[in-house]
Amino acid sequence: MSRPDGPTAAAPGPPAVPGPAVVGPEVVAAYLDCLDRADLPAATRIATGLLDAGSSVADVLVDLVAVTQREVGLRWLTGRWSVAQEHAATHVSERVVEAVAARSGPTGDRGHVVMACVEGEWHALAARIVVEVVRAAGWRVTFLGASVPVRHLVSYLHQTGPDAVLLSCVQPSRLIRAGRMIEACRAAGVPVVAGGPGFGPDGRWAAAVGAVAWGATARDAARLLAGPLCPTTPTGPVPAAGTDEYVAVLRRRRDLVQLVLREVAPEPDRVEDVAGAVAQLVDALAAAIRVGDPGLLVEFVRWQTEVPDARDGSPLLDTMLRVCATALTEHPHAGNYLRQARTLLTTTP
Amino acid sequence: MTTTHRDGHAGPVSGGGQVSPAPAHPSPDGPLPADPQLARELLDGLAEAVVTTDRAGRVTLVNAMAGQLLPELTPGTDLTRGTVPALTRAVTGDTATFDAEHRGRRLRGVCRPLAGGGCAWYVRDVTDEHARTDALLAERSRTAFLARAGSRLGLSLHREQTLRSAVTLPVPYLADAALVVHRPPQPGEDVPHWLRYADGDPAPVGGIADPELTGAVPGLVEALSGATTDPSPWLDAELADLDAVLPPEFGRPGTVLTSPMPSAGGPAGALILVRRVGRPGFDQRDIELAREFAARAGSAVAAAELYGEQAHLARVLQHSLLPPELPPVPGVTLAGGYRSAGDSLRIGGDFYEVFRTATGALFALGDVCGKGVGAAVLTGRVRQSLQTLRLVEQRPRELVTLLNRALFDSPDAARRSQFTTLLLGTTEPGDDGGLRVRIAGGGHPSPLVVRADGSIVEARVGGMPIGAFASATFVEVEIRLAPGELLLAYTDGVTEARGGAAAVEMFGEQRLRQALAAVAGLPPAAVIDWLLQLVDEWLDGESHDDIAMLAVRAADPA
Repeated sequence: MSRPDGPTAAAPGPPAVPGPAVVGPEVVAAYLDCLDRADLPAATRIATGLLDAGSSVADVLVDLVAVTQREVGLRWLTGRWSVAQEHAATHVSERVVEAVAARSGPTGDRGHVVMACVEGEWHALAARIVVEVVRAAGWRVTFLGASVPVRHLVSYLHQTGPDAVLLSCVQPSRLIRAGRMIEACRAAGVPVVAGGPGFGPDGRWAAAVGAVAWGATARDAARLLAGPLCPTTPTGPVPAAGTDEYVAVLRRRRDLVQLVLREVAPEPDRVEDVAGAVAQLVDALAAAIRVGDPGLLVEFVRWQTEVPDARDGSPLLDTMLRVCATALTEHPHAGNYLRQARTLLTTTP
Repeated sequence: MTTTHRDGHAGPVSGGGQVSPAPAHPSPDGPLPADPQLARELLDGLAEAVVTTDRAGRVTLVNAMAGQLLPELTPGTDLTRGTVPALTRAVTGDTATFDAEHRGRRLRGVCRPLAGGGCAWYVRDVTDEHARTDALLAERSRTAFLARAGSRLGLSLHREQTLRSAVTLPVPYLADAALVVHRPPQPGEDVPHWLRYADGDPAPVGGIADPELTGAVPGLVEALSGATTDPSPWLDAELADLDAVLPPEFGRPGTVLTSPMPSAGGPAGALILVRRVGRPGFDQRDIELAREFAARAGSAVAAAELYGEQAHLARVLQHSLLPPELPPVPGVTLAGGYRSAGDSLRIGGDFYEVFRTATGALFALGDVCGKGVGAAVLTGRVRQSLQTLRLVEQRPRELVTLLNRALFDSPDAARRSQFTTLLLGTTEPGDDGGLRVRIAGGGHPSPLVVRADGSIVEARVGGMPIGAFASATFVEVEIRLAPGELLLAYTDGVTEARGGAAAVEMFGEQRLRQALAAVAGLPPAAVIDWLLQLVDEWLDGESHDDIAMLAVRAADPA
């Protein structure tokens, strides 16, 4: 199987950092084929074969595994692969990362960094790749895993005093949680380097939630850590948000879910999906207000319209936006942002 | 002048460059008495110095105060000739004001043109005013420094981090380089270490202190032993060699100030501040500030040390209670998942354990009543007992019975009235290439089996909780897993997780079955990840009980 043509083949995200193109498209295609068959031994052979041929850990993990994973995500998103297929493929890639890691040399001593995924985020493959690339760059890295609770992270920071925290956030709707984690890290005197598309295109929302830097890829993470992060890095309180309206919006989250459910009255087997969708929308709205950018909500809504298995599609989204706007009339930002999102819906077919 | 400007903090000093506004109300045009004597007396009675010049800039008149403040000026003096440098600069630079020191006094002057050509300079002595403003600003900047130091030092509870803050904060405000000499708390380590941050260093640098260093820096031995509490500055003449601990390009130190870092538990170390040769030495206020800072740093380091000890103790104890790494077992793929109710300790009342046996695996998953540390300690006891008892008995039902007696007989069992629900199983290769699993139960939710065709069936086990009754009875069931089939044991934290739209509904067995069906055929690790994720999303941030899962899968045929 080769990579499909058409717009879906273009990997979303910023352009890759130029480097020696060791991993060609035919290798990526072969690897994807292994994932399709959930063939772990063959996938591992491709990865270790590249290492044997002189590719670096970053080459293999970023240009092969991460690039392929974007395609896996697209296949799941476009409904070509089931959840199970996507999980099986991801599992194979995780084991491949382990295999690559097992072959890397002793850990260097450039310093200690901690990698964590924002609470609620369970896709840890990208984070695992960052861990191994940064480790290969000479750092001692502790991976706290997927969905790290804030308190767990904080107690770990106080116990080990790392030089920096790398925080992965894939979905912008989790930015509020990411912001809380960054706040906690700064309060413990540890700077946070943000990573992942959750911090916006080019990481434009990373600074608003208190991160000192943002990187798109594992290579960026290694590069940023090599720069001057300490000790002049600002720690302590995060710059205040322009408005605390997002707090009020979040407080009404369950309330809004109930309002939409009452309005939509979905089939019993759809109640949970609709409730989940509303909750995510409210999170995205709160995050947009937190970083002061209606574009976050608009992009979120656009993304929702593109998910194929959203059976109810745009009408449901429009209802959600309308009910929220009515319920949140006393919050000017929320009303304004929701209006902009609805405009998007009515202007796109 | 005793005040100094530091660190570029000088800023605009009390509006120093300000021109006094021209008189708002011009004097009424009444007739003035043409009396030179009166004019002279009035001029000499002024608190301001008045100097008038002609068109050429030559002094034509000075009053009495000008004689005191600017005695160089007499009628006929050329202002551009530099007898009063500040005035010369103002005149040649064509500025109408000046603010400068002259003869040890701070003078501020303003020039007004005279109708008949030339001009009049009005000069005020602002020494006292200036000193007060300077003192106020210096005091403010010291307060700001201490506030900044206090908040930075209070951030971390980690010793190294705190030490790093302690050496970076004083640079460049108090010194060009700062050094902390400290004794690491590890037992047996009696050699002092040092940590340095100098202006221009990318990050603090550290090392082990040479015995010569402690001897070389005056006051260091005393500061480290807590003998002296007053920091005292040392000039370079008395200085010994600091080259080993300063950056190579730093040059010869000018002045050095050693302050002890006291804490409730004795000295936490010593702070050495180094200024370059060109920089003024430490005045009394600097010394006081250094002492205050060193005291704060000392208590912060001591607090971090204490926290470190406690955390270490907790970590060692916690380590034995954390979920174990699963051993590799031929023919079986295993994965465990765990989430404790409390987030920071990651231990609780649920547990699982896997041992390798001659024929396969011995696995257990259980739930002691209660949560938190107390429950975790009991899980430790259960796991420990299991570890020992399995050496004499490996049949599940008999092993559970033994375990029940062991727990029931423990001295404080009755007082605690704690019981445990448990699934305990063994695997051995089946005839068909799959696994023969025998499971004994003690009052625990029945495990689910994912069959090859994707159907989910419950493996009813039953039995009574263990550790609660002397004569409890247990049962044992046998399940066959074909290659690729999976058995999931879980605790009620999974099915009783409350969440959903209204945050009150339980996750329930039905949802668990659906979730399992969606990932049928996947490796155990992927299944566990998926289930943890679903439960987490279901909870949506709500608190939950401990959650444990253990998946056992018959390996695919090779």
